[in-house]
This record gives sequence, C-alpha cells and structure tokens, in this order.
Amino acid sequence: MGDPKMIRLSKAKKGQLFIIEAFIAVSVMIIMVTALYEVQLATQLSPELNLEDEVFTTIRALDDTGTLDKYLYSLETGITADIELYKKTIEQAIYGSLPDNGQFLLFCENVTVSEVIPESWINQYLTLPDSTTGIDYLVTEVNGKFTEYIFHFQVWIIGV
Amino acid sequence: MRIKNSFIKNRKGQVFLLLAIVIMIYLILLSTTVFRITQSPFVELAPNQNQIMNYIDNSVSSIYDLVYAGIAQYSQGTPIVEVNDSIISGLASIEAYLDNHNIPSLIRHKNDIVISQNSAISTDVYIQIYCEISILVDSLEIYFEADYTVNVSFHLERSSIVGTENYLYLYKIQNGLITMLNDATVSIIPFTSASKLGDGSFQLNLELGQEITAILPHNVILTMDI
Repeated sequence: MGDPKMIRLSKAKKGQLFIIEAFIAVSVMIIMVTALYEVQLATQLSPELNLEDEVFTTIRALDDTGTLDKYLYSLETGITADIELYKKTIEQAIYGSLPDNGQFLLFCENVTVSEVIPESWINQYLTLPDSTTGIDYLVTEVNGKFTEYIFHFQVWIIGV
Repeated sequence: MRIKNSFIKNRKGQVFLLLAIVIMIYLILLSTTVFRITQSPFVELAPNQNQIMNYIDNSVSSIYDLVYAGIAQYSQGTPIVEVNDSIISGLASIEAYLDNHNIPSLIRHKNDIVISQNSAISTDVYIQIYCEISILVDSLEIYFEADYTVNVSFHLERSSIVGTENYLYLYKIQNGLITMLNDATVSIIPFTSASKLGDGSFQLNLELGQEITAILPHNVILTMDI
C-alpha cells in the first residue's frame, strides 16, 4: 500500500496537506464561479427576428422624412420620373430593414374611393408564398390636403 | 462515536473537498437562476401587443398628418370652421382604420381645436394648431388609454432690422421641438434674390414695402409684409 516513507511524511505533515488541499479547493471554486460569471456576461441571446417591427420602424422613418407623402403626391400628379424616384427610395429602405433573403411587395389604396392605385405597386411580379407578414400604414395628408391612403405591405423571408 | 470522530478527523481533507463541491454546485445553480430571472421579463406581453402598438403609433402619426393638413388648408384661406370639421372627420377615419384592424378604439379631441395666426406685418409670421386628443383602445388583448397634446406651428421669421444682409428663417415647432425647414421656397415682391443657406435660412436684402411668400413643406403658405 504505497511507500511507507511517503505515508509517514503525509501523516507528519497532515496539517499542511490539509491547508494545501483547502487552498486548491477554494481556488478551483473561485475560478469556476468567475468563469461562469464571465461566460454569462459574454453570452448574449441572439435577438429574435421581428420582421413586422423592423419594417414598421422603416415605414415610420419614411413617413417622418416625408418620402411617403412625396410618393403619394407623385402618384397623384402622375409624374413618372418622381414616381420611380420615390419607389426606388422606398424599395432601398425596406430592403435595408430586411435580411438578405427578405422580400416584400407594396401597393397603395385610396380609401376615399376604395381603389388600389395601379402605379403604386412595388414588386407586383413576385409570387406570394403561403404565409407572409402583412403591415398596413395609414396616411391622412398629402401635400397639405386632407385625404386618406393606406399602404399595404407584404413581407416574407424566402426559403423559410 | 469515537470511531466516527476519528474517521472524520482522518478524512478531514476529503470532507472539506466534498463540502466545497457541494457549495460550488449550489453557487452555480444560484447564479443560473439569477441569470434566467434577469433574462426574462416577469410579465409576458400578449403575442400581438407589438402589432397593436404599431397601429396605435400609426394613428398618432396620422393625427399629426391631420394637423399639418389643417395648417396648410388654413394658410391657403380655408375658414377655421371647415378646417376644424376636416380634422374631426379625419379623427373618425383613424378610428375606423383601427376598428377595421380589429382594434376597437375611441379617438376624441378633448377641448376645442385652437388655430392661431400671427399678423403678417410681424417679424415672426406663424400659424399654429393646438389640440388635445385622447386615444382609448379597449380590446381583449390590450387596454390602452392616452392623451396627446398636439401643438404644431410653422414659422417664417426675419431678422428685425431691414436692410442689407438680412435673414429669413423657416422652421416648424412640434411640441416644443424646433425643426429648421430646408425644403421650402421663398419668393419676394418686388423681386430680390435670396440665397438659400441650406439650414432652413435665406440671406437677402430687404426693404420696406416688400412682400415675402414662403411655401413650406406640407404646402403651408406663409406671407409676410415688410
């Protein structure tokens, strides 16, 4: 059962060995707790993708900067160059808020006459998947006139 | 008893290690629990609460739209009564919009809608609309009640002394927040060229008897007589 010399030594230095053991145990404990704490700090839950909120924030920004207003005004006046310009701005902004495989389509409804404006479509050629996220956005003023338009957005992720 | 005591004495280190491990497990469990508590809110939101809040947010932006239209219409000569009526019927449209999205709501103006205008001969010509709007949403998922103070004014201001190197300032004050309006046009009769400085102001030479007309965003037209 082991070297008798070692046994004797360990018996004689029992106190010291106990202190060393205790020291190692405490150190391991402190290191483990610290490591755990650090891991917790470094671990961030990956944010859940909320398409609706992301796109809504962008639409609000487009409204605040007057882009939606100008787009509607260009649709009212029928100036093709302006329509294309604001379509492009809206398209870039919405794609910017979507992931790379995100897709959307948009059309605008004149509520007063309950009609979809044919020129207002963006990405009309796209085929809608089985499920999409729908967002409506109401605008009650265009170029200083009381009016009522609703933007209808459909947003989805390709391949999901 | 003596045997037991001597056993513990002989195994002091091992017992201590055992205790240390137990404490460590305890600490890990405790910190894990604390971590979980801090990560999840105590009250879970209704699944579509965000969606409903977005629609409420949209109705607030639409209320401001109505006020912009009101200022624009008033600046173009529409009588106050008509502007008031348009704003009130606009509020009904917003209410209908929310109802159509299955968000039962009541949108009302609490007091009179106040439209005020400063004299065209002053150095700061403005049109202001002040109103208090209450929004109440009472659905199965959410109860929301809020009063919004809407205070918007569009300004055309000039430096007080008439002569060379005068300035015109075009800005909007929305609930106390000033926004300089760079997207505006200014015309002066008799003609004086005005250089746009790009920060919502124009530099020009003014003389008595001139009339300045500024077309601001939302088609708000302000006229100033010098």
